[in-house]
Amino acid sequence: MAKTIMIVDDSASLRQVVAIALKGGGYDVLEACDGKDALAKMTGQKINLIISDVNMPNMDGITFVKQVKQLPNYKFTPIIMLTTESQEGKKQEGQAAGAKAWVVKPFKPEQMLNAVSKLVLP
Amino acid sequence: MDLYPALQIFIAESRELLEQMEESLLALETAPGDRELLDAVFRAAHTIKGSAGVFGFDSIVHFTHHVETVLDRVRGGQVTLDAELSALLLLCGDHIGTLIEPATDDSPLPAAVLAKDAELVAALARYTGDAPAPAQTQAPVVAETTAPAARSHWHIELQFGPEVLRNGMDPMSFLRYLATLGELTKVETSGARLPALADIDPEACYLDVSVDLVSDAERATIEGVFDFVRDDCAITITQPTEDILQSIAAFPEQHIKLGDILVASAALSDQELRAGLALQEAEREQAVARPLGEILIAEGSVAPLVVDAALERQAQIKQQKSNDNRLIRVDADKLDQLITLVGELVIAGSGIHAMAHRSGFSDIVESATTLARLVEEVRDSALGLRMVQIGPTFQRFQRVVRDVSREIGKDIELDISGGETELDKSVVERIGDPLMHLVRNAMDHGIESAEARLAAGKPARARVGLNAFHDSGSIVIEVSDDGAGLNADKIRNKAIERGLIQATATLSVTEIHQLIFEAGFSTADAVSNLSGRGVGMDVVRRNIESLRGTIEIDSKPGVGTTMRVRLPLTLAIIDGFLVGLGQARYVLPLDVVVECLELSHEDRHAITKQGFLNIRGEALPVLRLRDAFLLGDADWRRENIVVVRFGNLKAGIVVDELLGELQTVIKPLGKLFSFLQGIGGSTILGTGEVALILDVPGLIKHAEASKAQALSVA
Amino acid sequence: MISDMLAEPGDATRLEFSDELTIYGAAQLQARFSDALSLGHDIELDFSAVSELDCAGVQLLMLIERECRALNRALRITARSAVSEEVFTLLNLRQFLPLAAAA
Repeated sequence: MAKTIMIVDDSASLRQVVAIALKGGGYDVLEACDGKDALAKMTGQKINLIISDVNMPNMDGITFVKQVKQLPNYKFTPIIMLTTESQEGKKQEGQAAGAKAWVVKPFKPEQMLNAVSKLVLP
Repeated sequence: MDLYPALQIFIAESRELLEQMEESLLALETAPGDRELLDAVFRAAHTIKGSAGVFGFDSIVHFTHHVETVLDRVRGGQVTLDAELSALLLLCGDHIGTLIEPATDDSPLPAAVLAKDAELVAALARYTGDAPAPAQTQAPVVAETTAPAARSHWHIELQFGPEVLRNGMDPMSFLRYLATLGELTKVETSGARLPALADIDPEACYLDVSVDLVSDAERATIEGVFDFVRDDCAITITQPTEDILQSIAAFPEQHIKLGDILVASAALSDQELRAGLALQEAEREQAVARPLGEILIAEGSVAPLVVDAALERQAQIKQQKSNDNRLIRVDADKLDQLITLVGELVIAGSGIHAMAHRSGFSDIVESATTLARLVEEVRDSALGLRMVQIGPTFQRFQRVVRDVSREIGKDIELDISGGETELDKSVVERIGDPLMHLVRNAMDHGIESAEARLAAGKPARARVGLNAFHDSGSIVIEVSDDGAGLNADKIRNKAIERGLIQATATLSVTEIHQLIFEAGFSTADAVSNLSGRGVGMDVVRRNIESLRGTIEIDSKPGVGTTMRVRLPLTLAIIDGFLVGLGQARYVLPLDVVVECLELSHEDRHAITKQGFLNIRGEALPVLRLRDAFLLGDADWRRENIVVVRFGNLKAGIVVDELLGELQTVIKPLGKLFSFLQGIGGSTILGTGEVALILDVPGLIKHAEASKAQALSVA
Repeated sequence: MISDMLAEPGDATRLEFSDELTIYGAAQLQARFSDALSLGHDIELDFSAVSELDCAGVQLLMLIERECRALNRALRITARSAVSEEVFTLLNLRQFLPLAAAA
C-alpha cells in the first residue's frame, strides 16, 4: 500500500511541484493550502508524513505542528518543515514544536523526494 | 520529471500574488502600519521567491530576495514604509511581473529588463544598508557533481535517543534508505539498553543498531541520511582506512591538532571529535586523561591504523615547526633595504673596478678585484636571503588536486618534482595564482573523462605534474598533464570565430597553441565552476609577463600538454653584458648571451639583403638595434653581433661596441615609459651614466617577426 | 488492534495481532505482554495479520523474548505476515524471534 504524504503550503505551484515529485517516487499525495485546511483534511485519513511551510495565512506552520502533536492519530507522524536560509529561528521553533526534519527553500524536486525517502519509503 | 502543469499554476499564482501585493501596498497608504496588510505583502514576495526557487528561476529568486529583505526590515520596524518606498515596491512588483515570462519560457532577459533589475536592486539596497550584491545567480540548486567514489565499506554505529520514535523517526526507515545507497552486508540490532517490560516507556526508543554498508556513496551522503536524528542520536561512521591514509599524508602544514587532521581527512566527524574531547576533558578532571587518539580508538570512532598515520603526520609537522624555530623572522622592508644597499654597492664596486683598470696601477687593480669578488659574494648571500624553495607552494596543490578531482568527477593524481628548486620569495608569492589556474585548467580541460581515457588505451587514473628546475639563469616551472593534448584545429576555428586571426592565416602549430593566451579565448565546451569562463589564460600570461617571465606550450595530441613557465631567478640584480650604440649604453642580461661575433662586411650585406644571418648553417634572425631604435647609421664603425637565446628562441642583435660584463641593479622604468617596447628597465653605471636594460624576449619576438617577413618576401 | 488471549491445551498463552504494531499502540502492547507473562505459561505469537510494525513494536518483542528467556519460558512465533517478515530480516532478528516449526 502506497504511503501517503501531505503537503501544506500556500503556494499552489509549489504544492504541485512537490506532488509531481512524490507521485513520481511512488507516494500518494494530499494537498492543503494552510494549517487549518490541513487539519480539516487529515481527519479520517492515514497520513505517513507531513510537509509543512512555515509562513502561511490563516494558520502558520508552527501553530499547525503544535496542533498535530496533540492529535492522537497523528502525534507521532514525521513532519518536514520548509524553511528558508533566513529563517534559522523558525527552524528552531519548528523543531521545538516537534518537526524534527526540514528542507531548505528553494529546493530541487529531487531533494524533496530524497528527504521524504529518508523518513518513509513508499 | 515533467513540471509543465505546475509551471502553468506558477504563472497564474504569481500574477495573483502580485495583484494582492499591489492591493495591499495601496491599502497601506491609507492604513499605514497595518500589520495584516504588511504580512500579506511580505508573504506574496516570500511565496513567489520560494516557488520560483523550486523551478530554478534564479532571476526571480535573486530579485525577489532583495524585495523580501526590505519588507522584512519594514516588518521589523527598522525601515519605515513611506510614500517613496511604497512607490518603489510597486515598481518592484511590476518588475517581478516582467521577469516571469522570460523565466518560464527559458528566454534570456532583454537588456532593458536587466538594466531595470540593477536599478531597482540599487534602490532597494538603500533601505537595507547593504551594497547591492553583484548580479550573481544565488542558486543553491547547483547541480552537484560528485566524484565516482570507489565502492567501499562503511561501518555505522547508531545509538538512538529516547525521543526518536515520538518525533516520527523510525530507525528502520534510515536502514531502508541506507539500503538504497548500497548493500547492507550486516545489521545487528541490540536491545541491551531496554529496561524491564514493566519499566519501559513504550514510546521511547532504546535500540542500538550497527550496520555494515557497501556503497559508492560519499561520506557526506551517508552522514546526510541521519541529518534529522543527529540531535537525538549517537552516530559513528567509520570509513575504509586506505582513502583516509592518503588524505592524511597530503595534509597541509598549518594543522597541528590530531583531531583537526582526522576531521579534515574525513576520518572523523565533528560530532565524534567533540564527543572525544568532552570525554578527555571529563577524564582530565579526574586526572586520568588518556591521549585523544586512544579515546577515539576506544570509542570506536577511528581505526588504530588511521590514528597512527595521523600521529605520524602530526610529528612531521611538529618537526617542521621546530625547524622553523631556528629561523629568524625579519621584516621584509629591512630585507628590501639591504638588497637596495647591496645593489648600490654593486654599482659602486663596478665603478671602482673600471677606474682601477683605467689607472693601470696593478696593486689597485688587485684590491679592486678582491673587492669585486667580495661584493659578488655579499650580493649572492643577500639575494640568497630572499630565496625560498618552491616545494611548499607545490605541496598546497595536493589538496587542490584532490578536492577538485572529486568535484569534477575525475580520478587525478598530482606528481611533484623539483620542489627543492629555489627562487626569489617575491616571485614565489606571485606565482601561486597563475599556477593555480594552470593546474585547474589542466584538470578541467586537459584531462579527458575516464571513459575517453580507457578508450584511448590510457590508465583511468590521470596524472597532473608540477616540476621545477633551473635553466640558464631562469627557473622553469612545468605544469603537465597526460590528457588529450591541445586540439589545434579547434583552437584555430575558435580564434577565427573570435576574430583573433584571419581565416587565411598560415600558422605553425606552436603559434596556434599560443592563441589560447589571447584575451577572451576559451575553448571549453562546457563552462564549469573552475575555468572556462573565458578569463584565465590571458590573465595567466599577463601575470607571468609582469614577472619578466614567459610561458610556452608543448602539446602532443593524445599524449598530453606541458605548460612551461620560465621566470627570472630574482627581480632585483642581474649579471649584465654592456654594449654600446654610439654614446648610448645598453645592458643585456648575461644569462641570455650565447656568443659575440664581429660582423664582417659580407655578413652586413647578407643581413641587409635577407634580414637574417647564416651562422654555421643556422638561419639566425637578426635585429639591428640602430634600426629598432631609429638611431640612424654610423656606417664608418665596425659592428658586432650578440647572439642571444631565450627559451627555444635564438636571435642576433647587432650593436656597435661590446663593452663587457658587469653586475647591475635593475631599476624599473617609470609609468611614463611603460609602453616602451624592447626596454625592460634601467640601471646606473659606475660612471654615473644611465644605461637601458634590453628586454630580450621582446626583441627576439621582433626579430623573429622580421625574419618571417623576410622569408615570405624571399 | 484486537487482542485475543487464549489458554491452549499445551499451556501456552497465544497472542494474535491484527493491523498495526506501532508506537500508537505501544502502551497497549506493553500491557498485553505484561498480562501474558503474568499467566505463567509459554507464549505463542501470531503475526500473520500484522500490517505495520515499527521499532516501538520491535523493541517490545525483543523485551518479551528477553523476559521469557529469563523466566525460562518458551516463546514461539507461529506465523508472520510479509510485513513482519521484512522487518525481522531488515533488523536481522530472525534468530532471536524464530518461527516455530508448525505444530
